[in-house]
Amino acid sequence: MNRISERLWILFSAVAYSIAVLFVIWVVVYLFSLSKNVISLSFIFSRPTLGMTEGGIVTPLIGSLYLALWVAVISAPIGVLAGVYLAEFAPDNGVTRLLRSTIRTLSGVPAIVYGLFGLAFFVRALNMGLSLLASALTLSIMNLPVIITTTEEAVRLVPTAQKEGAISLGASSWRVWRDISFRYSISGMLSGIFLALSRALGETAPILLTGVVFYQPSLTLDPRRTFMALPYHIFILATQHTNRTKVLPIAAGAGFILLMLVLAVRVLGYIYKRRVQQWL
Amino acid sequence: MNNSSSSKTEDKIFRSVAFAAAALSAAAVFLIILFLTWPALKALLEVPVAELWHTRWNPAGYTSQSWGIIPFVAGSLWVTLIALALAVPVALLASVFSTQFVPEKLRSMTDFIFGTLAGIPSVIMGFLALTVVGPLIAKVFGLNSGLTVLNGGIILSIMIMPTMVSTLADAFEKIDPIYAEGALALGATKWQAALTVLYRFVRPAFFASILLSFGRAIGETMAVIMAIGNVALIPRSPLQPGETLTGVLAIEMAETVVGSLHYNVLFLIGLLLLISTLIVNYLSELITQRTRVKVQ
Repeated sequence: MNRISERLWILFSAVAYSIAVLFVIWVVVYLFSLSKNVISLSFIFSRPTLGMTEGGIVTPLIGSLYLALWVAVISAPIGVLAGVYLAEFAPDNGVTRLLRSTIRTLSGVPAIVYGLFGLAFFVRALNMGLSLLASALTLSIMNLPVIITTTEEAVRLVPTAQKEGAISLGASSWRVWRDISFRYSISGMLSGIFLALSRALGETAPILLTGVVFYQPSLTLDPRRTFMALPYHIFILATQHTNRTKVLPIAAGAGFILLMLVLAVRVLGYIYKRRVQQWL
Repeated sequence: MNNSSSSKTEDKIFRSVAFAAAALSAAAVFLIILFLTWPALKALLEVPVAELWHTRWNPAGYTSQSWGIIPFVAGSLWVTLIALALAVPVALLASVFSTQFVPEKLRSMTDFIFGTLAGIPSVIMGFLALTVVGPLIAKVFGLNSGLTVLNGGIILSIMIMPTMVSTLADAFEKIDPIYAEGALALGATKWQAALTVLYRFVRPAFFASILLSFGRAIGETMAVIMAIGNVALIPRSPLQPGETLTGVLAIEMAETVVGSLHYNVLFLIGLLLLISTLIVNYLSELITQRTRVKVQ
């Protein structure tokens, strides 16, 4: 009796554990099977046409990638520097505790609240208007806690002996960081940056109120303009379009490409994380 | 050391730039609170609290507008509680399996799998709710539309699973193996050990993870608005549609005139949402810190 219930419990827990694996596989297969008739190279490289019932996804795809580029350029340097400060320079006092707890607080803010803030602050108060730049700044703030925490952890793992050696030779903290800490912790930082970018690529709520539009005929590199993005494109096609049967495969195809993109960036982050773990 | 002065300047500049970056990140929190509170206060000046704590939401009324937010609070609670009810047992089982039965070498696999699950964009989860789970619910319960709070709860339960499993698995791993060994030596099976002896140690983390997941679930937007039909009425059963606090923000914000009462009330809802997630996260952290002190 005991043995049977033990086995049953193990079976239950194994099933619970496998749900995650099976779900991820199922999502990929489902999106692909729904869109296999529309996905092709020309789907990726052509613009949506005929009221988005035909054509491809190049405008939202490039929009998302370009947005991610801006997010990386804005959030990576600030996040890395803040992480370095907390790991290397921050004294153990009230100011540091306040910094830490506010940055932790930032990570708990819901995505849509970032959207509201972006609208009130970047779009209105700073007069950026609905734009890619306003969206990128909003997403960057959302990304900061992730980059800061991973950077701090990575910098803390740098062997002290190496740093002390350099300091005793008269190197400035900047030199120590550039020549030693940076080289040791770059993998850890990159893992955080990629993780954050993967999240930014898939987010809809923060860009919803700050600059994304459902249709834009041409591509532009001007960050002061509005833009199309894959997640919002999927949302619009799936929920707002009148010709649902016709656009559903396109939405699934866009979802498949977005999922692949997001997971690829995440795996990249994971590879760098593994690299850090292998040193230890 | 002829470059010591330039080295000192370098040092100073680097330190201050790094500090500025940290301060800027922290300032973001205060800016967020400030820029949400300002319009929210303006809303409070115009709309009495009694009118907010009301069941009718009708911002477009020509003769009389009404600003009752109870339907959204109810919608958010429905989907969040359904999600927790579904996710808690599964996450507990999964975390026991990953820490007690999966070989230690494969532990990082758990990280990867649940990390991947967490990485699925919420709009894709919403797409699944809309095209798979919803129709399934409609079929099983014989409804016209499966866009119900149950649908939202189911999709959310999958989305909060990674947070729960990773918090719980961390807690299980921190337990000194001597307790499990002791239980096993006394004749308990591995499962009995996990459920009786080890659970005592995991209990604080268990509550912390529930709070953390509650915060995640109540703040989730896109998946939920694609799943639950968005009707500003109080759902009386899991099989009715509803609308959440996040949903009304995402749907109505873009249509409002900046500075109008509608705009300000929506910011008030955003502020409520922010405050409730911050409180829940803070409580969860408090529990985690307390137990850390105890273990040490």
